Amino acid sequence: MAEHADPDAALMLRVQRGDRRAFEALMARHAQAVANFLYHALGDAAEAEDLTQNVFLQVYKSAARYRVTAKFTTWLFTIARNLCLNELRRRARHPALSLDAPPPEFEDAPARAVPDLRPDGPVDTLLLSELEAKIQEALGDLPEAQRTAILLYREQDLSYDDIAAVLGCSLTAVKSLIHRGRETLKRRLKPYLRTGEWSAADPQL
Amino acid sequence: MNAPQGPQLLELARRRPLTPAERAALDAWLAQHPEARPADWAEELALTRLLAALPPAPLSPRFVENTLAALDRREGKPAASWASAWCRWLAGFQPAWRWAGAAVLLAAMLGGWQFQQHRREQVRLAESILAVSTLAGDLPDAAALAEFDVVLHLPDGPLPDLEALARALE
Repeated sequence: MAEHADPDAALMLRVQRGDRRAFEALMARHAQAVANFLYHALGDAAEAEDLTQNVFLQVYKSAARYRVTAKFTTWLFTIARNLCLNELRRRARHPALSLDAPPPEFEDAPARAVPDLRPDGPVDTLLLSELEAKIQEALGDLPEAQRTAILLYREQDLSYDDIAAVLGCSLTAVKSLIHRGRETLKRRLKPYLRTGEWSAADPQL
Repeated sequence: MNAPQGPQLLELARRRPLTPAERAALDAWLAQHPEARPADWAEELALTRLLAALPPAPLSPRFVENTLAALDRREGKPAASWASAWCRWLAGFQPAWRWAGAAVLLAAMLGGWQFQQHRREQVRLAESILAVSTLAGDLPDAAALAEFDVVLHLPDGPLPDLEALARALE
């Protein structure tokens, strides 16, 4: 059998033959990226992990349908996006209060306490939590296609073509979605972009 | 691989924060091509940093093991296992063969249904014949019905006087 230059494709061919080791390797390579996408798209860590698991179960179940002509990450994120859309539709049909959400009297408080293991002071930690909540909120308010395009754009591995394949639209449409999404985010997050509060969040700066 | 050049670095700067070397190369390129500098470049860079600063999803260290266990649970169910094996077997065929197989299966099912209908019809007919033959015991003899049509077509009205007829024939 011909060796594949794309290691993911080679692993998937092994998964098609029922190779669990190859499946484990695929999860080790891509679970974090899928979880990040779902976490930032849904804003719920537990749900993101559950859905990530479902994404990989779906990958295993549908392995026979995978064709090497398609890039594995494109296929993977298409599954992830579909499951994410299902979850968003389910939420729209059955709106429920999250146990993580603050009660109405504390609406101004950060939406979620993000555990931060860096040895920053409490002020920095608070700023960081607030900032993350604001970014998450701004992302959450974007239209789904714009949010997905922006989150996939963060993935170094995905080109515009790959993102277009995941979203099922043209290359131009992807560029437009990213541009419009970023413009909205810049408007929403302007105070943070100006004051430089993000500097606490990025040790490189 | 070649290091990314000006326009590529501009693109890259929207995707992730640049390394100091990349940033220096981009600044040098923008100094030579000031017309390429976007109007809100500082905000663009700041937004990229903000998005990059989003924390990764907290994923359980046992994620892989948990997923494999979930897979085992799914495959452990006899119905699911049978169904998934069937699906895997089916997925091994080209779509044209799958359609052809489905057509043959449908034709076989239709044929089977028609055969059953035919059999049912035959049984019903046999039962009808049996019922008729049971009733036939109470009917008059076939010889008595030989003139049935003639009798049926006799005109309505008073019957002829049979004794007078007999006398006339003598």
